[in-house]
Amino acid sequence: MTIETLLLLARTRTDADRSRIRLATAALAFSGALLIDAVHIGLLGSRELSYETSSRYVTELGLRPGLIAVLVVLSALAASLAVQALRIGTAARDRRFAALELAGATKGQVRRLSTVDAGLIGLFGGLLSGPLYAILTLLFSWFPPLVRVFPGTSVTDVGVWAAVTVVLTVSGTAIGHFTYRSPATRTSSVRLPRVMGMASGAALLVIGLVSAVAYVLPAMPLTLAGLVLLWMTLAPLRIQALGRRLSASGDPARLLASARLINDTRSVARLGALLLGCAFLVGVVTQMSLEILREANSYDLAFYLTGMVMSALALVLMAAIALAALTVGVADQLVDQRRQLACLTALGVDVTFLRRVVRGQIAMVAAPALMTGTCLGLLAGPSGLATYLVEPLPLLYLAGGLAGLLLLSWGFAVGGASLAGYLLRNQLRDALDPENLRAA
Amino acid sequence: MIALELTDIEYSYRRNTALRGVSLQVEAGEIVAITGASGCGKSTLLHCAAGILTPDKGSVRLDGQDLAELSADARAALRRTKIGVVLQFGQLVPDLPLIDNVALPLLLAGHQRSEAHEHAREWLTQVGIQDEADAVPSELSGGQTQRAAIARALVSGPSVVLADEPTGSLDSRAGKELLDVLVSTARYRGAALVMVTHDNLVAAAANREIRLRDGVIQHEVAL
Repeated sequence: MTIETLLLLARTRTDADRSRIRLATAALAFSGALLIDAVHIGLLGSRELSYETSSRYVTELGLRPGLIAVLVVLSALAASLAVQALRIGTAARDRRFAALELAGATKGQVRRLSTVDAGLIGLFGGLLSGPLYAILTLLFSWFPPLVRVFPGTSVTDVGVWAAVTVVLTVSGTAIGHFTYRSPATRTSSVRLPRVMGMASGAALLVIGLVSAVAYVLPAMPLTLAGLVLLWMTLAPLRIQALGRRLSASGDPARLLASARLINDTRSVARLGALLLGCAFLVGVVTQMSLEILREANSYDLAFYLTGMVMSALALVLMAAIALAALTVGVADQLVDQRRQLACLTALGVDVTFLRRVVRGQIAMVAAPALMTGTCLGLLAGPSGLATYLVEPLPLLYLAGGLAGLLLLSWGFAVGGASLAGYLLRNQLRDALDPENLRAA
Repeated sequence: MIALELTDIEYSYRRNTALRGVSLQVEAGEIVAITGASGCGKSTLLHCAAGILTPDKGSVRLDGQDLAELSADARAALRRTKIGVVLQFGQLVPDLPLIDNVALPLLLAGHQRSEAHEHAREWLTQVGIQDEADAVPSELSGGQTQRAAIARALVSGPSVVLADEPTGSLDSRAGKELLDVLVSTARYRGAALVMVTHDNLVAAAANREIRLRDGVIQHEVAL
């Protein structure tokens, strides 16, 4: 296969696949921009900056490592979202690969297409990360100095941008190569929960929670890792059970909605785990904010709360991207099932009804992950267990924070799902078009 | 000369046995129709012949080469060069223009695009859809899609063409036209043609009809 053919076949033109590529590229560009910022701050070394031009998180030498750590965590979260977006197996993409194999493409050739596709996404994500970093710097310069965590641009940023582009391209290529599964060998069934995954997840969670009493900060990543591992091991079973329950409901539209949950369990579960991770960190940030508010007299409120709100907003943005990835999956399902959906028109099903089904399908996956994550984050954050044991928070205070977070995360899931239903209204209308009955 | 030889083929899906010891020989240039009720194993037999499925037992030989002795990649290469496959709905790559779809086996074999397009254009002319070269499959009628699938199957000069219900998705007039194209182009190439069909008209165009029932050959008639 020549390079020209490789590029021709790697480039896709279907709507669902374009959405998948846009999402992955945007997530990678965001990840790259955060990484450039982290390296920029790291390269400042012991150089002092003016309080009037940058945030205190940047100007104070002692706070820089903390800010860099936060930026790296957020960058890793955005990158893992991009990986999930890359791994969404759209039906159009599967059909394409199956048709290529039928025409005589070897599995190696098809894998090479997937590798080039992911490598190109990495390259474009990397190329966009530089301009995005410049835009974010400009955007933040309009805010008060306290929130300016993007401390301007310099000539060395160009070199960092080039390095980040290379890293993202190489990572994209590696991910495309190692995560490719032939449509013919992909199975929809979920194996029994892997005992090792469950046991490791549970052990990490327990160690994290117990050690939080004495070693607050090191314990938190352990708790988060344990939680995500447990969720990724158990969520596929829950999602399959949910899919099976929907498929047995007797309602034809719900029957169709169950198909994606059953057939694409793993990617839905992985996106759920990402939502859980984001929500956990939001819970942690909320708990820290509550602690600061409780001890308002001994803290510089504006300084700390600005950092907390900014972290929370970045995490909410990540969760929104994860919800968008779920929406791409649902949109793909609509295109794939347009013939069956068109049959529903004859049964009197309309767009409004289908929007309700789409809303339910997304909310059913997102709401439990978000609600569990925020609750556990709130209870197990850095000053959580340790403080509660030594100096219990007033019950009303804790219950109020918990109820507020639960309500917010449920509202975010349902609101996001409603927005997805609204954004997909044209696809739903197209899917219900009786003209599709003729489609092969 | 024997182009395709299947010996004692057995194949089972999880619970159902689809083929129970089917043997078949197809001469170069011969046209064979495989008929039978739904679920009798016709398509499974064709997929085994194409190397898409690997039989549980028995052997498939193409131009004397045993497919079981080949790696998956070598089987794919064989499918690209010596076998042409036409399925009921064409199974073209949905987002590629017709010219690229037809040129695909050549492009995958490493030919330059301009050279592959030249051959593809010849075959599009041969099957009568040269004006649709830049259209994508969704812009075509069922008959045009099937014609493109025939052009794709023949572009690399295969010795055997395997067609699974090639007229199944078409009305009788379009089906008749497509059959004429398929038979004439296969003859033009001197390729053996094996068609799985329910359609009596398709079966009548063959030199030999093999009727399957419950995974075994029920009878064989020279036409």
